[in-house]
Amino acid sequence: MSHINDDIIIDRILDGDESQYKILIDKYKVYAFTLAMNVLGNREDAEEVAQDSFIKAFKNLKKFNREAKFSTWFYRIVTNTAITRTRKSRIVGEDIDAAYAVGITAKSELEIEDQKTFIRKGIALLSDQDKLMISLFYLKELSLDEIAQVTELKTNLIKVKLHRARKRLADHLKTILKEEALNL
Amino acid sequence: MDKITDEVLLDYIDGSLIQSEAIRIKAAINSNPQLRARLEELRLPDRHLAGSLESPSASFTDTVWSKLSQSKGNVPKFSLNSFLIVFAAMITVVLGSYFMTDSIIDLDLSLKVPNTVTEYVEVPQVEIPQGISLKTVSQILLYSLSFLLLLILDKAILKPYFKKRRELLT
Repeated sequence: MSHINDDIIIDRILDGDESQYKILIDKYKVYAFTLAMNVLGNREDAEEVAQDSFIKAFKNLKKFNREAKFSTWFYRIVTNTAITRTRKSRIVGEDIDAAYAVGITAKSELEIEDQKTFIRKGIALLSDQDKLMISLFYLKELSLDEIAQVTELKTNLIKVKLHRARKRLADHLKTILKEEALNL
Repeated sequence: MDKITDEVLLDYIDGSLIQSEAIRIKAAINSNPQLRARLEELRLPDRHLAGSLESPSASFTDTVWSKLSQSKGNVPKFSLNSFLIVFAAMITVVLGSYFMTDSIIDLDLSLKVPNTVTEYVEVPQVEIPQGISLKTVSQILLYSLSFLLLLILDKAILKPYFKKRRELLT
C-alpha cells in the first residue's frame, strides 16, 4: 500500500508539486537516519548523510524507474552516501570506530545498564559491509531480495553474509559485556 | 542427529525453520545449557535492534527543504531550448556570412587599363601580381570566427554549468 502511495507522491512531484517531497522526507527520515547512524556511528555525520541522501534522491527522481520500491532505491542512495563518507573520513585520518567507541565508553560509564549502548559499541567494531547488513536487516523494512537490491549483491549471498554479520556482532557483544562485567 | 550450528539457531530465532526442525531445536535448547547460552547471545542484538529506530533532529525536514531550495537556486537556469536557439543563431551568422562573401567579395584586383588610353599613352609593361583571393581570406576569417564561437560557448557557458552541476552532485 505504501508502495502505491509513494508512486502517487512521486508522480505529483514530477508534475511540479515539489512540496509533496516533504511527505516522503517525513516518511523515510527515521529509517535513513538509523541506517546512516549504524554505518557512521555518530549523530552529526548521520544527520548530514541522511539529508544529502534526500537531496540526491530528489535531484534524481526522474531517473527512478519504478522497477523497485522507492524505499529500496532510496536506501541504496543512503548506504552509498554513508559508505562514501566513511571512506572520506578514513582518508583524512579520522578513525570513526575509535572515535565512536570513545564516545560510547564515556556514555557507558553513566548508563552502564543500558544494553543498547553495548549494541552500538558492538556495531562500531564491525566492517562497513557487516554494519550495512545489520542495519538493513534490523530496519525490518526490507525482504532479503530487497536487501540484495540495495547492496547490489546476489540474493543467495545475502543470507550467508547476514548470518556472518549477526554472529560477529553477537561475539563482539559477548566480549564487550565480559569486559564490562570485569570492570564493575 | 545433526550438529546445531549458529546458522540453524539464527534461523530458529527468525522463525524460518520448518515446524519439525523447530521442535527438534527447541528440545535441544531445553536440554543443553551451552546451546541455550549461545541462543541468548545470538538473540541479544535482535532484542535491542529489531525495529529500533533512531530519530533525527526535529528540524530535519526543514533543513533538507532549505538545502534543496538553496541548491535549486545555485543551478544555472539554462534550458536546452535556449541553448539550441543561441547555437542556431551562431550557426546562421556564420553560414550567412559565408554565402554573402561568396557573392560579394569576388574582386579582381588586376590592373586593367582602358583601350582608349593605350591608343595615346604608352603604358609601361609592369608585372602586376595576380588578384588577391579575398574569398579565401574571408573563409579563413569565418573558420576562425566559428572556432572562437565554440571556444566562447565552452568557456562562458558549458564549463561553468557542468562544474556547478558536478559540485552539487558530489
